Amino acid sequence: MTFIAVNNVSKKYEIGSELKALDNVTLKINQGEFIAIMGPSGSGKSTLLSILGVLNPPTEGNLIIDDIDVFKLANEKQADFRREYLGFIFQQFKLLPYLTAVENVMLPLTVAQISKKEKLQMAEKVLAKIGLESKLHRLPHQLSGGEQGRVAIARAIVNQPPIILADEPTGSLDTKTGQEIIEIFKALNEDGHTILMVTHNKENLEHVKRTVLIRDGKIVN
Amino acid sequence: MGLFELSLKHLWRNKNRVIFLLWGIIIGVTTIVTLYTITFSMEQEISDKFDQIGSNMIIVPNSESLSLNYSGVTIQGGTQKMVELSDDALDRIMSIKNSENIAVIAPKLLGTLETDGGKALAVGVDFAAEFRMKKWWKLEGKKPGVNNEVILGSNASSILGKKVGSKIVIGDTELVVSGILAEMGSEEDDALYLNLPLLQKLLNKEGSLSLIEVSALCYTCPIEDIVMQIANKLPEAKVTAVLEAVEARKVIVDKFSALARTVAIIVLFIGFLIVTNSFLAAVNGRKKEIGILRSLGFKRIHVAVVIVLEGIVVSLFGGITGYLLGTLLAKWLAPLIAQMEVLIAWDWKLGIISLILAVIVGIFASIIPVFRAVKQDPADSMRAI
Repeated sequence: MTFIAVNNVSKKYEIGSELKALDNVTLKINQGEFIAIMGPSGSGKSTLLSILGVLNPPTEGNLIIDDIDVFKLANEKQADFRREYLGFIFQQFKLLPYLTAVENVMLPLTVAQISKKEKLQMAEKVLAKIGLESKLHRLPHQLSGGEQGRVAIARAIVNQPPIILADEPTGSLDTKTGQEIIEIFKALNEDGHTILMVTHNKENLEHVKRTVLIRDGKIVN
Repeated sequence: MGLFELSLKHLWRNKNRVIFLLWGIIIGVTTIVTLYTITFSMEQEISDKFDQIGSNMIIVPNSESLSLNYSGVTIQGGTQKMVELSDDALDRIMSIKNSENIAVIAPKLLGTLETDGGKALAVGVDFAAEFRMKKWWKLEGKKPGVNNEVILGSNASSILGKKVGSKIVIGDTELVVSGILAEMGSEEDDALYLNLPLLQKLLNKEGSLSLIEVSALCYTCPIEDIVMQIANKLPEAKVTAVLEAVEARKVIVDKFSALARTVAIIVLFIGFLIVTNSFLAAVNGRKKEIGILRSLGFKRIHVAVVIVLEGIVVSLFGGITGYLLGTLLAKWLAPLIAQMEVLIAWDWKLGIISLILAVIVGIFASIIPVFRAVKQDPADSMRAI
């Protein structure tokens, strides 16, 4: 059953002249899929990811997630939706430099109506799951690239979202560390998370269930 | 971790940025506190000085007889029998509700005396009170010490032909001139000043007074109230406020206040602009962070609360620091500016007002940056990420 439906989505930008970042894209994704989105630079991968992340409304078409036409939700409801359904892992992880590992992981829980103790327990549990229980109180700059990646993953999954969106999560890591991150993704996928990952790395493709190729704003496979 | 904790952590781990935000608030609050403290203290000091310089009330007996003039004050008398006040009036004056506002009471008895040098206008005074009240008196010689020592006005000295150390004989009584007053261009130049009890005895008017000059510290009370209270206690007397002194004081105090208000408003406005600009720069620098927060499910109101809370915390800190620095600066600057001893006290009420003012400035200054932050398109945020 289709969990995520990208229906005839186009995205145009006005930068002097009109630029069509996505052109009539349609994509159906089932729950529990692990999808790699590939394509050359400027092909529209990140735009597609930002639309899937309910951060960037399409110029045309719609996005249906779990039978919800998400861009028809009011702006503040979209924020609730993101918190409930989506976990983001950004390029270079984008941890807030002034928060420790455990505080970064607690961020999505900041506005949740649960006690501070519960938030802390949830964050510690997730960090322990990915092997960072000894580095809870380190600031991002005190962590290695791989460790930062794992904190970013923990932050993305701490509130148990069904969908994880990752933008080049291994792009800034060496092969071995990148492999470790992909292994975590595989484990999360086996736990039932639907994962959409933008990647340039062809080695990652052997671990995913489906690859979507984008070129010039169109899906080509 | 809640929104407040998130704000605190951001401030704590970005101290350099906080210092940049703080300086505008600290400068603003420090300037206002310094100005206010100095002006307020100077107002009080000037007011006290005015209160102590000369009388601001004259008490004379009620009378419909002819009048004569002493020290610019019209008193009754002349050739008819003078109606006089009694000594106990002094105690009754001190029994008024606002007695703590009374600084000096200077009772006087007026009369004429036949001396070996000729007829003289004699004024019996309490020398200690008189010298406290009349700070402008410049004396050649020394203040009277013993009962038979007197001082002379400059004209009286010439007319009677007496100098410092000279003897003045009045009947069986021998007086010694201990000092001569410098010329003042008033009736005081013509008078012979002697101890009140001595003059009362010489004139056979024990317990009588012609007038009482009162100096009241009226910074915290209207002089009209004190006049009314004394008039109630002395129904036999006419109590008159010397409004010129009060009015002169009021004009100077008002000018100081107006200057302080104007400068405070200008500084407040400039401080507001600096703080707004600093907040704006800080928010612009956090575009990426705001994008991350929004992608993690923060609503606009959550982002706004984080920024406003930071503004409030920074303002509180700036307000406290500004108050402390402002008061210390006032303690150092006040004597230099006022060219006189000015007592600067730690005023906790001013401290609280400083905090409230700083927080109001902080909240208003963060309004525009908050609007910028919450209106930031998530797609822009995403691009910033």
